[in-house]
Amino acid sequence: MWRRALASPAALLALLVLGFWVVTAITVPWWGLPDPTESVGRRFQPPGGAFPLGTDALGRCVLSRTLHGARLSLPLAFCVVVGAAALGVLLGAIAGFLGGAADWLLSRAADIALAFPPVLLALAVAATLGPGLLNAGLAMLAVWWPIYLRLMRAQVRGVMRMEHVQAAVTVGSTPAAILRRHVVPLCTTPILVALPLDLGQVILLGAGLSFVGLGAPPPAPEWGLMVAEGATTLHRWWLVAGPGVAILSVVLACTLLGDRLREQGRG
Amino acid sequence: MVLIQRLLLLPVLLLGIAAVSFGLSRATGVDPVIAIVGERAMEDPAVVAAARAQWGLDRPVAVQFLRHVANAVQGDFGTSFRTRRPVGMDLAERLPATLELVLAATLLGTLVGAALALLSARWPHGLLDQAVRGFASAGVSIPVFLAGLLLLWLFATSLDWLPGPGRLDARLTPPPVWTGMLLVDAAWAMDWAVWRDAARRLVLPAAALGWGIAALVARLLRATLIEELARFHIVAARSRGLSEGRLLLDHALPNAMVPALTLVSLSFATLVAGAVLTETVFAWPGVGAYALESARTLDYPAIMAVTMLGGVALALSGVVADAGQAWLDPRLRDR
Amino acid sequence: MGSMTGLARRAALATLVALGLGGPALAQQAPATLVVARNMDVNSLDPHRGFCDTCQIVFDALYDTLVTIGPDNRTPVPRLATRWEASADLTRWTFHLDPRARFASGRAVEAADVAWSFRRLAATRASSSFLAGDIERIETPDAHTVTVHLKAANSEFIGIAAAPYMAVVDRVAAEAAGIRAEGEVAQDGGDRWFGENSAGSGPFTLARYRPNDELRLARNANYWRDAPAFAEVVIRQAAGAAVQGQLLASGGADIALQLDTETARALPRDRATVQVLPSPNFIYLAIAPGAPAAQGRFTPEVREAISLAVDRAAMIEFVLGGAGKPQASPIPNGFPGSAGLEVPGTDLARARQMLAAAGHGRGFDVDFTFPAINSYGADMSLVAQRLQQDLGRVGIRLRLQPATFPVWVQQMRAAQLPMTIGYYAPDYFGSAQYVNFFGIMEGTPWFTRAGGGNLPSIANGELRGLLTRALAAPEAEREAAFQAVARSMMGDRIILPLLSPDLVIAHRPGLQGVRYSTCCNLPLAEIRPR
Repeated sequence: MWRRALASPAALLALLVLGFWVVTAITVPWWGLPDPTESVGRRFQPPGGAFPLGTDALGRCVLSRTLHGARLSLPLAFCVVVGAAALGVLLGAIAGFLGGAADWLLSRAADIALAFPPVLLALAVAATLGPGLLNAGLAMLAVWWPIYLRLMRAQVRGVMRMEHVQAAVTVGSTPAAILRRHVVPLCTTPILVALPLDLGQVILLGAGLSFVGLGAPPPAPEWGLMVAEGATTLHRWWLVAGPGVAILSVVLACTLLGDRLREQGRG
Repeated sequence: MVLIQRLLLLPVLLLGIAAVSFGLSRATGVDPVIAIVGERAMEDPAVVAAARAQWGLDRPVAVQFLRHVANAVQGDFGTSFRTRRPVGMDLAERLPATLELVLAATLLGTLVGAALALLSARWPHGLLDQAVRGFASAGVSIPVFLAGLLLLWLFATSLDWLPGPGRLDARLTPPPVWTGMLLVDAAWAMDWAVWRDAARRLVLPAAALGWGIAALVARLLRATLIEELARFHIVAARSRGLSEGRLLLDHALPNAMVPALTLVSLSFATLVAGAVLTETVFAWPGVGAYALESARTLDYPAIMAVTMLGGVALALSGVVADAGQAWLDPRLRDR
Repeated sequence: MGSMTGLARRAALATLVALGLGGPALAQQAPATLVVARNMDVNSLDPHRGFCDTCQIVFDALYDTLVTIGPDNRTPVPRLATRWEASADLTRWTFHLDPRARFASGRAVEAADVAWSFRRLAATRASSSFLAGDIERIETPDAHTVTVHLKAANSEFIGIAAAPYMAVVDRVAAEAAGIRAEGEVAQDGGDRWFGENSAGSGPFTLARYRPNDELRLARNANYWRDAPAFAEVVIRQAAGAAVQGQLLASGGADIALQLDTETARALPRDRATVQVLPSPNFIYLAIAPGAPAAQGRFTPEVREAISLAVDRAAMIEFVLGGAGKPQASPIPNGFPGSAGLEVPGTDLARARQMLAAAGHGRGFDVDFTFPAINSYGADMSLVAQRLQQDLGRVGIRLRLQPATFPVWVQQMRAAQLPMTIGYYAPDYFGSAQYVNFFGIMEGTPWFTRAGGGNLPSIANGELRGLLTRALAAPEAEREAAFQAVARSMMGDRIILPLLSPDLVIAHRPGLQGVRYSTCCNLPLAEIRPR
């Protein structure tokens, strides 16, 4: 599936972009860039010279901040998506497999969580726990797990209705064996396909939370926070350009990759 | 059947939402009285005690919650700490603004998305198609606040083609309130100066919010249109010599509209959420901006009412999606 | 292909409609309306309950006070009272009302209205009630004479009387609506009624109020002095400098009040006149030696070292783009006692030396929670980040943690914050408010917040006496007496003012009379077309 997906130039480009950001996130401290949290120049210097993307209100290098930002946004989004998928898949499997009261309870809990518009729920959670990277992560986790629960539950129930699985139940295979042999192999693909798309959307939500001041605390070079800082002075376009392009490129790459995977999965 | 089941579950859902939002606002451990009396008056025990008594905060938390739920059932959502008015009154004033924005965004997004999908499906895999697909991917990848800021900067500040933030020029007298939606009310009152200004101010926020919808619709509709065009009866029609354009519009589009419209109604709640950020950027006096301010100040009667409203909107959009699907697709009607 | 041309035709039509919408901006701008863009922080329009910056502006427009502060921002001038005198011991203040004064209802303003209003302010037990808290009783010997007896001498009562919260309300109109000055005041529904009505003698009346959306004032047809130039004033909700600047630049607003210098500088010259005025607002660093999390580190020497590590000039440059002033003591520039105080300097070497002597040669980490808000053009987050850099240079490592406003207040009040930053804008023109709020003496908010409960030794023993003396001082000795208070507070080094942001007010070029007032913020009635 992956190989076929990568045959398209768009997906290849997306993978390159993601690769660039991952490599950046890992190696940027050794690039010899100015400290992203220190004032190293005059405030609001336009791009040029020592600062290819200019400086911000505190005279910090915007390029350095943008590149260092990958060290926050990417791992956070990754952890949230993987955590949400793990939690949702586990609970979804339980709900779909057991059915009955457990299914009802878990599904209603998911309904309630999904009944909050995501930004509102994340806002409420982040406002309660206080701003911070970890809390923003927990808030997004609260928004995302039910999506995987629903996905997994639907898959499991679909698989359980299949004749050969029914047969296995009838002959008295243990639940664990049924799960391992029949359910898991059929359910992993749709989950894996959903991951890159969700990664992009989680980065968007995280940036939104930081934008309204409920994400990473300053002086962290978080992209949403940087956009928020630059939003008050839009005529200094370079403040928003760096983090804006960063968000756009990562999310776009995730979306393109997810789309191609989905198309291949379907076709 | 599914419809009735959904409606029956609504109260359970709402109670859950109320409990979660109440729990969250109280889990902070922050005394809600701060939101009422402010930083400095907190120092005066007489002021604090008076405020506590006046707002019913001197009772046990469980009692406060139950009282809230009991009142909410009767349509009374309590009084906002921040505005000191019944939350219902605040929401009644602000909901039409959000509805107008969301409806305009949906309309704009659906039309643009459909137009792009048609162009794309007419000449699939061409240059135009590539461009549309690129737009569709970009549309769901750009943060709505960034889109809003860029639109404002480009069309209002730099080019000066459209007015800046706000819903109506303060110098214009708003029409008598009928629906609360300015375009409807102004048209009803035949006040075209107001209508024009309101419409011009609606374009940018609706575009910022509708961009994502356009992208979603374009993606889905393009895929289903291409699928439809390959189907047996279309091939048959083509063999009868119908033009490609006619095929697309008369045969493929009606069938492909069903999933697209379902998607649109389902994304209604997402739009309401996006409205939080859009309204903040465009100084739009709607429920989204109200929700954000309420969350920041821990104005929990307002938070509870807004989240419950969001829950109802989401549940209803599910119902509407089901009903619309059944209406559009006769095959589903009997089920 | 026929249908595609149909599509194209429809698309062209849609474009035409869009172009029609994109025509020239509204040409007709009724000059009778003045639009002010600002973040509406209104918590109530009940003049005896509301307490906010917007409230000051609105109350000043709807209601009269006995006196007001003149354009020099320090001299009291007549408003309802034509003249006034104080007893020699400064406990009895007598005001003589202007017999011409009329409420919007047409009824004459009487001494009984003043007494009723002051009693009600005390009885609402709201945030502003403290202003009337020192009043012992009020006498009204005749319809045009009011004598206020204070519990203690207060040389600044005239400044309190000029605060818009001391609004004189038409008691007949208010009582007819169920508003009370005694008895069941808490349940009198003032929040609701005053949200829809006004009952004052000021230049404007309330036309319409939609919380956090807009507030419309209409010219008072029965106004007893010169009518204001604008028939209508609209205060329009606009959160943040960016939105306000855009409103002003696009003609959607005439005045923007909460701009920062960067936004103001970007405004097109032909659309906006920018005034940069010194203000009494300030942002301070607060150190809580008695907070458990401070672990007893903040000894007087360490506090002095912290003060020496802060580069105030650089902070004004980085946070405010240079549009600000340093401030020496918790009594702000321009207020009694502030003249001639020297701003503490920066000396990193000495700061390091003092820290080493105190046993902190390797520095230490400390939690730093701050309110995530933008106040008076200064972004608190920038202040905190700048401070983190400054103190980092002497080894004090701040762990920044932004908090929403209620959370911050709660933790600060519980003495849970070893260090934080805060901001203050005056409630009235007078210096005693700063001592009563920031003074490290039993009973003040900051005595508690600095951890005085755990560490009573931080109390400043001489401050109470100095304040009492200043409040009883005759006019000629007042400045010197308050200066002694200010110096004493500076010596504590618990409240360290960091900067006083300049007020940046931008308005469209055709206006005059736009100014900042120390009592009333923005006097709307003074604004007129050029």
